[in-house]
Amino acid sequence: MDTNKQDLIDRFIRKELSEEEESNFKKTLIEDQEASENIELLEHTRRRLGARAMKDKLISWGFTEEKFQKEETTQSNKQIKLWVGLSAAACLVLIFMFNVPDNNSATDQLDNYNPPSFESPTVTDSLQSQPEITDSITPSKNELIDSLQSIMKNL
Amino acid sequence: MSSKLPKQKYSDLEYVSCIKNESVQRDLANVCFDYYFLYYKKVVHMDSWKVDIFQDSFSELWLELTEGDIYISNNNEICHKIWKTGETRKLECSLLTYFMSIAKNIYLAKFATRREISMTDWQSMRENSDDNSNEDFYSLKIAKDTVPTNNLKDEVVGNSVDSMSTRCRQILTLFYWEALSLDEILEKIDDISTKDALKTKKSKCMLTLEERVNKGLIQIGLKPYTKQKKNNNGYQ
Repeated sequence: MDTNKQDLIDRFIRKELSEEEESNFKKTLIEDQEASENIELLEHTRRRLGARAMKDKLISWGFTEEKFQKEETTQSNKQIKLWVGLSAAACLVLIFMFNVPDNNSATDQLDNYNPPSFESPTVTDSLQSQPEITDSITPSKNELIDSLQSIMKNL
Repeated sequence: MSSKLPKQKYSDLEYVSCIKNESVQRDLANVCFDYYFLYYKKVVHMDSWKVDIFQDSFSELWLELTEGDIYISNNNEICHKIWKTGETRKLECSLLTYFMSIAKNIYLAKFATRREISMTDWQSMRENSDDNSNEDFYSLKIAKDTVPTNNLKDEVVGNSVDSMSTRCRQILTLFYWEALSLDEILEKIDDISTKDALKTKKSKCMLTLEERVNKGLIQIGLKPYTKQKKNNNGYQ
């Protein structure tokens, strides 16, 4: 294939030909199998190069194996949380179902429980009820003399 | 498959009309990832391929959007142009469902172009297959006969592009994909100083690529492209 034809093919692939040039060029392709195949290959190549450029962009954006692993970990953690939640809910349901109520049950006891009334004595009351200290520990002078006299008599 | 959809920031129409905006691209990639993560095990039976298949599928969807294969019609409907045949149809499904169908096709094409599958991969495929999808699993063995030839060629060309040196891929991408002029490419590449040297390098890269593509096509039983001949000065 000569250089001029290759240049023409390149311009065709790069969409640089005018409408008239393109129309004339397409007519020549009907009988030129080599050029047709070259164009087909170049068109595939051009698209794959574009796709490859996007693939590089995706990698730079982080759409790699690591993102899959991260997503898998997140999903796995979500599943674990879901299972734990479901198990807990199931346990509560089982406890509720098998816990037959009776008279001695804690709930009944709680319901029947009457707390004793408790009235704290007022401060003044308690103080008034106490005996006077002076009366009890300070006997009069006469009482002391009488006591001594009786002790002496007994001696 | 459409029972649970990830929350989209934009509508499908907005994704199609604004796909050149990078934040829209990124958001679409996120939504596609969430959807793919939920359902990929139903489509991709080889766990080691899941990342590659996602990246390739999204790149393909993006390519179809930017190349105008998926576009908005005058009736404000999303339409899909089938590459090569040029036939146009209204897109009956959501972009996400379409994305998953791309993933399935890419997976089948990738599978068909790999000749040797390790026992671990087979085991992984068996384990990941649903009980009721054994038929699909065994039919993968004859995937080569059912995957469209264009998908297979795309896969072979894609593999060949991936296997090229970074320098070659850079030159070819700048020239064929970004459609930059040789002068503009020279400004971006330090170790090539003249236009002629760049042209020669580009031709050598294309020749290497063509050889690899032809080898890949022969391996899977497809007709290779007509081999380019070297001229008297080296490469064309």
